[in-house]
Amino acid sequence: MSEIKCIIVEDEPLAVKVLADYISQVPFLQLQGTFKDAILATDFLRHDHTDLIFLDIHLPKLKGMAF
Amino acid sequence: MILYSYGSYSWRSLGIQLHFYTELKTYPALDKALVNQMGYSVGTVFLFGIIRHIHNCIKLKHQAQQLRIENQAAELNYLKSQTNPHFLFNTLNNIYSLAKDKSDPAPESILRLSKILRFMLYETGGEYIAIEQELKIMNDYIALEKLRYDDSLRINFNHDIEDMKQALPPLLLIPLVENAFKHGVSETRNNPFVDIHLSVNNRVLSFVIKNSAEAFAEERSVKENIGLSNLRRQLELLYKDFNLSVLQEESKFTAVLEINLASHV
Repeated sequence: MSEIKCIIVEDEPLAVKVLADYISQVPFLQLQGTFKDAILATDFLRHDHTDLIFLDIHLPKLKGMAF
Repeated sequence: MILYSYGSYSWRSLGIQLHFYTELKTYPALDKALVNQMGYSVGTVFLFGIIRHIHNCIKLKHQAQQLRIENQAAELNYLKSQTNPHFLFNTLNNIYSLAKDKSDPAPESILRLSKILRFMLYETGGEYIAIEQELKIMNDYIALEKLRYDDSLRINFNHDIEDMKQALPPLLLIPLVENAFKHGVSETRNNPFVDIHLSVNNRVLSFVIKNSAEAFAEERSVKENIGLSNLRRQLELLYKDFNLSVLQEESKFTAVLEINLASHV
């Protein structure tokens, strides 16, 4: 089975750390990057492709729901 | 006067027609008439006086009770917004993350959280606390909020207080700090900051909070209004002379609170 590519969109660094830790424990998840707001993530998604997004709802400016 | 006389006259003539009236008495002398009628007058004045007094008493009691209820409601509201479960949840998650890495700020953060909870449980029940206590809690609160954000967050907190023992109702200042983080820092993408200045001079308290903000969407200003109107209501119950104003600019939000502490109700 190929690995599932994922990114994290979360503005709180400590929460990012916990999530990244979990992801590293799951063998079939491959973390491509972390973004501290949805706008930065959008820039990434313009030229890259991902399978799974760990998305925070409360984000600066662009909310998770709106994203 | 004319209307009054005419009114009583017509009532009486109606009574006479229906044979239902008291005869007009005639008195042999003026002093006799006076003595006789004075009794009724004085009696009436007393009766109405007593009724009015009772009425006032009831009204006053009612008002006092209303005020107490409002006061309690405000306090309850504040306690609710303060021990905000969301804040507790966030902080615990952050501490978990710190503890997982066995990082140094973990024990200190637990202690700060414990101090805040103790303050909420035991100190805020009273009417007043010393301003230094509110300051300490503010410091703990800021330190815990700081955990949530990265190093780009700049916090500046200074104070100039003539008397650290100055009595202050608990939880009066913290809601504004809370607002700064909730609606300011967490909404800012670039260079978030919070500037807090508290001064008490000549019994006049001045509290200025500036925070980064991105002005957009009306829904946000509505949310802020709820918190601010709560604070304003509480201030109205406590002080005669105060001023609370907010200013939303392009990328900055400023809240200014001024209280003449001598004008306490």
